[in-house]
Amino acid sequence: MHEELEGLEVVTVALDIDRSKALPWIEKANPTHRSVIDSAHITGELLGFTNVPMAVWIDEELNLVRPPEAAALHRSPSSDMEIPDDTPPDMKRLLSNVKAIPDVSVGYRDAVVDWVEKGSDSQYSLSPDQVMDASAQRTPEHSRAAAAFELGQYFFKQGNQEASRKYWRIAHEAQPDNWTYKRQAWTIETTPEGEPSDMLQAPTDVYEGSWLEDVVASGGGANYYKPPFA
Amino acid sequence: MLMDSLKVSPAVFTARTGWEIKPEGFCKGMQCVPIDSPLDYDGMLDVMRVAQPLGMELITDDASGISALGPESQTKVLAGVRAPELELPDHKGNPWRLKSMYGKKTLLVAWASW
Repeated sequence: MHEELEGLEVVTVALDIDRSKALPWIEKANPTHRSVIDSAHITGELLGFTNVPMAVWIDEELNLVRPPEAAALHRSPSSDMEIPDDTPPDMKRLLSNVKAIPDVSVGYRDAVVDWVEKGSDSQYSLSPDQVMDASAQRTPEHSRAAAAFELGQYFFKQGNQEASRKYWRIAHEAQPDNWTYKRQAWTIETTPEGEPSDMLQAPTDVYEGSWLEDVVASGGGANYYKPPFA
Repeated sequence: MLMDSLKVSPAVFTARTGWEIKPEGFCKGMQCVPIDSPLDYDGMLDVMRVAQPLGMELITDDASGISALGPESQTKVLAGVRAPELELPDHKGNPWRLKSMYGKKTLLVAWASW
């Protein structure tokens, strides 16, 4: 988008504990914008990213003018996918919830363009008080989740996966609405077939939750993201 | 913040958490929390003494002795609207600092391979 819009810089941040998982995606995209890797999820702690994709808007003075919120420039193909009648029930349930995820891209690109053109006069540029009001409250449980997640990262990088799982379970329990903690941990586990990574983040013997069950428990795909401009 | 000891230098604590010792107490941005005698006789900060007043949860792994201190709580996740100090490597390994975006409108987008 920065190529189309003079005056806007885009920086993408990959929240991937294992840098090598993010690199192939970046290399395939061959980005012309800055693409950085946050293997410690530090931006989650500092800015409040609790899922992906999320974004913040930062003005020329390095002030946030939008809080962390769901972000997308393009409608997801999954919003329009057809689910064949003969799809196995478990997969059908999964795909139905994926399809129900709100289209975050509605109005997003137009809002960014408006901000780039009008700056603080844009209706989408928030005042400092509005940004702070929109920032989530951090509870002691959230602090505990962050500490546990960091310990889990430490042990994962040490090759001690059992210890990492122990602390990531604590993080999941302490802050169940933080999808970055859960999805990062789930995807490291192997599939029932022994594949090295499970993009479906299906149930395992390791963690209590799974993507589908946790989405359903939180109200279904329709509640997964809150589109900021819809 | 990971630690292999619960005694850390005040400078390290400030660099990692943003909290610094001032005459009025431990301060971060506009917020100050009075804490009596946070330093040991050797000038090191006793993390056990400051964690609770700052609302920072501390977890210690008994087997390894490694501890992690969570961020302050009972406050907003954003410490303020000023973009935080942030340095991350880009995909080629080159360091990138958020403050290098000064003078530009920036859309900072989080994504993941998962």
